[in-house]
Amino acid sequence: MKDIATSLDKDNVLSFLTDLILDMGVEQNEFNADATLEDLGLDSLDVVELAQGVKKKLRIAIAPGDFADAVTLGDAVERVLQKAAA
Amino acid sequence: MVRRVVITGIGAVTSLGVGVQPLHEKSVAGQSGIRNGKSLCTGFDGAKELGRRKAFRLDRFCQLALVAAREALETAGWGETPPVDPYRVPCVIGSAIGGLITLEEEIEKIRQGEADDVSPLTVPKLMANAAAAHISMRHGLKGEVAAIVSACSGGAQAIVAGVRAIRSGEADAAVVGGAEAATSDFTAAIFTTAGALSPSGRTVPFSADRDGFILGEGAGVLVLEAAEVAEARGASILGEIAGYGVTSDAHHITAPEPTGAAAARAVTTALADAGAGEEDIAYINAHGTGTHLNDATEIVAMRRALGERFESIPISSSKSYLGHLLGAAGAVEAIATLQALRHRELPPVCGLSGADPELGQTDLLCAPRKLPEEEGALLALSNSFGFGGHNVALAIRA
Repeated sequence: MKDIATSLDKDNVLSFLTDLILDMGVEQNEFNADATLEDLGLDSLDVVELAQGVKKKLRIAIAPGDFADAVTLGDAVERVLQKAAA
Repeated sequence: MVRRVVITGIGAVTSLGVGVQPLHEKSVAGQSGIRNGKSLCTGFDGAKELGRRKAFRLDRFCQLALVAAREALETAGWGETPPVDPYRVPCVIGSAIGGLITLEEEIEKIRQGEADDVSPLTVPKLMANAAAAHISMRHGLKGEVAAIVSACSGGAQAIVAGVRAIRSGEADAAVVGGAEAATSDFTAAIFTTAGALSPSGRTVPFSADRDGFILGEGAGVLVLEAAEVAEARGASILGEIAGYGVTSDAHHITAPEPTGAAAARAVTTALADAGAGEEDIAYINAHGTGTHLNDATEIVAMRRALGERFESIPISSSKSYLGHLLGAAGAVEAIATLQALRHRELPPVCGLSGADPELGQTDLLCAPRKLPEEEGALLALSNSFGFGGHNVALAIRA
């Protein structure tokens, strides 16, 4: 699992988060790194699900609060990469 | 002067299809939605009806409720928001169990040692009041929003709650009904060990060889309005909740009280409330689960309430073609009753070739029956009983 975490980059984390958000039913044409989580219609409960997905599938210990200041999807990608490097 | 409460909108999702039209047309054609021992809304796709995003955040019982509500409000001619002060529009939806599918999925995560993965949406999805809450959010209903959780009479009691709110003057309209999607192996196992589920997988209420009910899923929603409010806005009036009676057996948690006294009292109360007598009843939509005890006791109770006249009142059970919708049953069956009156055609007990002789003289319907096309409204009863000893009779006029 360490291998997955160390091989992460912006593109594949964005793609991973995109897949998670797609699973939540958000339509794909609304996506890009500049999209705000609010634009995507994600609320605090969805952010918890996002953190759960990252933790489960990427084995990165991230808490919902780590996304607290993530305004855009790009910000969320950064938080995941920071946690992966920690 | 008690305010009259009229029905201006109806919506349903059942195993016979999405909408109130297939519910009536297929039932009077003698068709059943039961397949392989269950009565599922197989053609219903929540994501397709409501969008993937919306569906993701909803248990199936809520998805069914929202689609039934959409049809009901469209029928009533309501726009994006109610035609009256939204704070005077309550929404009450019954559900016996709530979001069981969600509950089972999330508990499985605990079993798999994945407590951290339990969804934060679990409670908002499984809580029994979720259906009413989502209908209120979607349609801007700002009066009291609640669930009635009283097993298999919940849908009928939700209708009563709406009638009371309008009659009291607290509300001008109400969106009421019931929703259920609890047909899992778990539920089936429970009702099997309780001796209520049909082991044969075919349910024929009131037959001599009846052996229980079939689990069904679905939802039914009605728009109720004070008559003067509906008339003032030129609404098309489909019928009227003319009266109701609600009692309790105070006897046993599952078995009906054998004399049927409390169930009979619900019926006589509903009739008196409607200003009607037994001679006025054109049809009875029975609770008719198909369990030995329910059906026998229901007939005893009807005879007790209506005397000899009962023997010549046409009677059938929607559970013969829809299965048992638990907390949605009372609402869906009220709609089936209304439709039968409006179209002047009664659905039969699907699959019944002759009534159990032990039930005595009855007019149990083995085939659909046309009612006389005479002018003026007809009256029917819709019965709902629930584990816990709950008895509800609705007197519906159309």
